[in-house]
Amino acid sequence: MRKAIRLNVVLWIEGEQEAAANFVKATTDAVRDIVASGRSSHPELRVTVKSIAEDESDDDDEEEGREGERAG
Amino acid sequence: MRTVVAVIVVVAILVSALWLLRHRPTAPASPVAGPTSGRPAQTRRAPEALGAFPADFPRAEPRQIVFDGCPPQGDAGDPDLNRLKNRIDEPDSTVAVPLDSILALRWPRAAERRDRAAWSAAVRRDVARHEGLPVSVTGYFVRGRTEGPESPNCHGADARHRDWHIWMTATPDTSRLRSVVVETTPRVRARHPGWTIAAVQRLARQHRQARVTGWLLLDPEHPDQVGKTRGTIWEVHPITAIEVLTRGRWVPLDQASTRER
Repeated sequence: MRKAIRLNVVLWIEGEQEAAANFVKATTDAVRDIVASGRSSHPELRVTVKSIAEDESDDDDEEEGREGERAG
Repeated sequence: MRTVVAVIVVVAILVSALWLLRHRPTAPASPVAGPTSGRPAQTRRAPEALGAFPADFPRAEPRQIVFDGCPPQGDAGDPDLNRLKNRIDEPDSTVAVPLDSILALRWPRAAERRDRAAWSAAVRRDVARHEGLPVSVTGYFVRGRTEGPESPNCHGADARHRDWHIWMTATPDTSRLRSVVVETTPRVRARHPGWTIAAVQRLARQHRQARVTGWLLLDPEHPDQVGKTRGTIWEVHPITAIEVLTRGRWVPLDQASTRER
């Protein structure tokens, strides 16, 4: 059976960059590259990036001291 | 003799009444009726809200600096909004407004989730009626939190480069649904080493009355939170002064003791 799904993925990304440089663009471009380079590990799936945007949700219901989970 | 005693009693009552009038804590304003969600461009006006805000109060030109390499416009997002958030000037004079008057302020729905450069002239005029006013607001902190990395702060990862979100209400047991968000910024906090998020959180736990001074700002990024975790997208942002009511006097947070009793 052919299947499809729309996934939401939340990433926490850290790195060094000049303060004034556009971190949104740099990380957005990096994630596209990472997804593109990882496609070959699952050739049975066709992965299409629909959108990548900064998560600006306020998450006001989160407890104090919110921090992203470190990946890996 | 009886007359003399009566006169003394009356004088004593009058003196006591005068002393109480001078030293009573600021009473929270009664809520102003009206919805708190955004409005279309033709906004209805709440007379009570307009009465708290002077019509022609002079607006100061924001003063800005580069902070740890981060320019006033930040590293992304809405550069005009970021410049307003990053101002560092302190007001020469302020307008004391009841917190509920800020809650009653309207805003044009067309301003929501749009960069200021995309606002129409009518939207800009509407917002400009109140934005940039230097205000002082008295109330209670119900919650304080260090925010995540954001474009005004060039997405700085550490706590020193993040805003604080503080929810302020008219009384300590008022719901956050009726709160105004007031924010400190890294640029201003750099001048106030006595401001700590732990101290803000203690003030909230202790239900101590606080007074914040700062610039009135419309932050159009979170209209979805109105009615959920806040009462309005009008904010005091940045805060330039925080004072704590201590034994009947306003004491700067830098000097106030907030140790748990």
